[in-house]
Amino acid sequence: MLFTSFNFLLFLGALLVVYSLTSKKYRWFVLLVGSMVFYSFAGPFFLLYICSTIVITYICTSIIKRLRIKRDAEIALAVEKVEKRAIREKSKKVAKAWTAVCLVLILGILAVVKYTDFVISNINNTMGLLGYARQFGLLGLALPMGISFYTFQTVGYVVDVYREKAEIQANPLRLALFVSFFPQVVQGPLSRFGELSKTLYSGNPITRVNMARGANRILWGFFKKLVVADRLWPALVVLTSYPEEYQGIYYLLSIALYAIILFCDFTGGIDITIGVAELFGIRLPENFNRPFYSKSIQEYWQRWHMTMYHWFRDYVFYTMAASKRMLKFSKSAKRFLGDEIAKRLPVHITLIWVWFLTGLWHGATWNFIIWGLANGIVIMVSLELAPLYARYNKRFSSLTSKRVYQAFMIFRTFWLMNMIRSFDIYETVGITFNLMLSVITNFSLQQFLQYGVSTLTLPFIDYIAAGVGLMVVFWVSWLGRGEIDYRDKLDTFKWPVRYAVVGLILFMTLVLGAYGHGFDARQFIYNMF
Amino acid sequence: MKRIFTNPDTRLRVIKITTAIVVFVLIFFSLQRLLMPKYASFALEGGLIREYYNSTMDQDLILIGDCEVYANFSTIALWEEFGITSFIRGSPQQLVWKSYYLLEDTLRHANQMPQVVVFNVMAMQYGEPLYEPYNRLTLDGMRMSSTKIRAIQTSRTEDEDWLSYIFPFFRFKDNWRYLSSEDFRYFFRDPQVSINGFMIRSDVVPVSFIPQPMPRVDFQFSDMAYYYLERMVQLTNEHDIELVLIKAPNLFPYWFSEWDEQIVAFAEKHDLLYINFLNYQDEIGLDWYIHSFNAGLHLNVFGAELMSRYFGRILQEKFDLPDRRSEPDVAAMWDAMAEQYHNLIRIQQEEIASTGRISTFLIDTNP
Repeated sequence: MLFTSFNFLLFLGALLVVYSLTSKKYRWFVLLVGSMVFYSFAGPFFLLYICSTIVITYICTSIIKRLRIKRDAEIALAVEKVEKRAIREKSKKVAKAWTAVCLVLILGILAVVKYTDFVISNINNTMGLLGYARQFGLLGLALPMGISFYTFQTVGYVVDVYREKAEIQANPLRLALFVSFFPQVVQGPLSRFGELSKTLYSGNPITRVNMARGANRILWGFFKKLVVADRLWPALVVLTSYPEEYQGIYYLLSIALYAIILFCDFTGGIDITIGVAELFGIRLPENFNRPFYSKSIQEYWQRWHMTMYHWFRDYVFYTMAASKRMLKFSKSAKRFLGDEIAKRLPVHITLIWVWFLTGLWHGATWNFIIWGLANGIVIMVSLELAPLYARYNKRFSSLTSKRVYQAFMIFRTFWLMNMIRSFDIYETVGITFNLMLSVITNFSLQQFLQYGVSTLTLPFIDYIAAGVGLMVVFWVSWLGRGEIDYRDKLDTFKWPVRYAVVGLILFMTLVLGAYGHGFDARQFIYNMF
Repeated sequence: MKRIFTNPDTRLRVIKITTAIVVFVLIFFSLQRLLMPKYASFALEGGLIREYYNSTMDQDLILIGDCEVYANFSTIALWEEFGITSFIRGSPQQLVWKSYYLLEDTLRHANQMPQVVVFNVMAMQYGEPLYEPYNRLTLDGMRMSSTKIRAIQTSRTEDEDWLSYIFPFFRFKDNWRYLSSEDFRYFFRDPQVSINGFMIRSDVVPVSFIPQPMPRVDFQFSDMAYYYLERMVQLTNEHDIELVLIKAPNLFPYWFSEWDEQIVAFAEKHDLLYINFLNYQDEIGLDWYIHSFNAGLHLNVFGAELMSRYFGRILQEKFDLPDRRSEPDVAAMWDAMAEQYHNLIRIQQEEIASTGRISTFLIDTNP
């Protein structure tokens, strides 16, 4: 069930009615039933996968809980510190084993459904290169909706339980709600149990304020998705489907268009997610902070898909970089590489590993792996050059402090990110590299001056509509500068102005939105990850 | 309730919300009106169905069916020759169930029941919903009612959503790309495209060749088509109305004898009059070289007049339809319409004489 479909709005309306009519104590259960119904629309069979993840997580964390109770009882009886430490160590070891079992199983489900065919096709390719004729058949398993998101969220919960940072949820149905909460199961944001559980189970009433703010946020998401992203999408499809025809300047156009579409699509989806949760009085974490104002790739990733960035940082990067094995490796590397390099080596290795995983998480193709590695390499190089930048900034402070220079940094980051992101949109890595080269070898300016965008199937007036929409997006982004929620800013206006602004956005969405007859209802891009 | 009016905050909130809702509804329906096709310069047939609601007169005869009805029968000829008051509820590719619901809709709005309902059976060959654009030309013109909702449910194809029939805004919202002065000109009033459902075409495109019929294996009408024809019989019986089945004259598409036999059997079974006018073309005086505006598919106004004179006589003889020319109020309205009718024919003839083609189709066009 697409967020932008009429069926979803009907479903949401019905759920709100049932929720408000249910007593506070059981409202979380209504949300669970709603989530399961919502999920079953993607295919009832997929419920098996998400339920498996829930059951595995529940069993493992319950065992850990029992271990903890037993541990605490034994510690209470123990007299000596050494004895207490031994009990703790033993309990931790067993808890670690159960955590590992849980992670292997739930990540195993993800690995099997998402990566089996990727592995098989790589084996087939390698065998082909080595001259073996035998080819293994692909499984063609369907990817359950949001599996990457709910698996990662659950992994976060299990690790937090192991680290004793999250309370263990004793009620399997409540745990099921955490894993499957319908607005976020599709494309995040990735929530932490400690944060989300504060409002998820509280059965907050539906209030006028929550309704107004939630609806406002949902509308804003619809606007970005339908007026900008989906309206421009057909042009991007043409540009990327015929890479031999659209090179040079068209490649630049294509990657800029993709940046706009991806931003409006993903942030629009997250706006709808957060808005829907707000209707029920549930707070979800923000996932974006005006990423296109970033002045470096590192900063960009601290502003784009923030919950994923934080997830990898907390559960992979820190865990790996600070692991005993990595510290040991760093120590042994000192002898060959010297103090400075050996100290930075664990960070760089971890960084590349994290970005490799990030790429793999996005999709089981080499395009995504190269995309991830490209991000990692750029960040690594930036880290290495940081002292040089610092010296440069100090020496030319009169220049670097100027607004023009700041704008240049934003511009540079935007295009660098676009180049890296182009691995997402073209069919193969080879095509992407060729197109990057075409900016130098075949700029196609003549073709562009002659035909412009007229061959991209989209009527020119659609670009104007999307352009107007984009201006509104920038205006709202400007309103929300300094991490202020644009709705708070809007609240400072008098009510006729406020209502007029919301009304304008509503009617722009209704009239200019790419939906209904003549448009293929398009899934959110991040739904596919 | 009392609290709402005594608490100033609550009162202000109620005022704000009410104002917002009213403004929203006003803008929404204004946009819907602006963006919907006006059917004034293209696909004029889309304007046919809505025109019935503008008529304040009672009719003795209702003709229901597809293009073979609204192009082939002149309501003014029926009036001028026999004093029969009639209205055609026809639209392009009007499938049997659409005709049934239009009949239901017609009877719902009639102050006085018609004496005769004529149904053209050409659409019996179709057994399932076909094309969205044709659905639009029929259903968007219907006024909102439970009949319309049932018509939508039955007529829509798998890809169509019912919401866009309730609020056509959702179907035509993208027309902002093609807005023209016509959309503003006809914002407050609809262009008139017919005289009581009859579309006037006085140009001539003679028949040049007759396409061969598509080979078929199965000639059996579908259960769905029969079901709605049965319901038509039932509905007319309930209101004590005579139902007449006809097959209007044309050269193509082909009307197979196997189909004709089924209609003959159906008519016999239900004791209905069935006339296949394909068998009486010479008697009517039709000449497809001069009486068609689209090479044998439909009659032009001159052919339609011949057809109506022939059929009017049968109707008057068989069903004793009253001659209302002696009723001053009725006659005044019909004569005014007849004047518009002849006026448009004259304009079209002048256009043909000067440019070789007609460009005026609307009834309310000033000469």
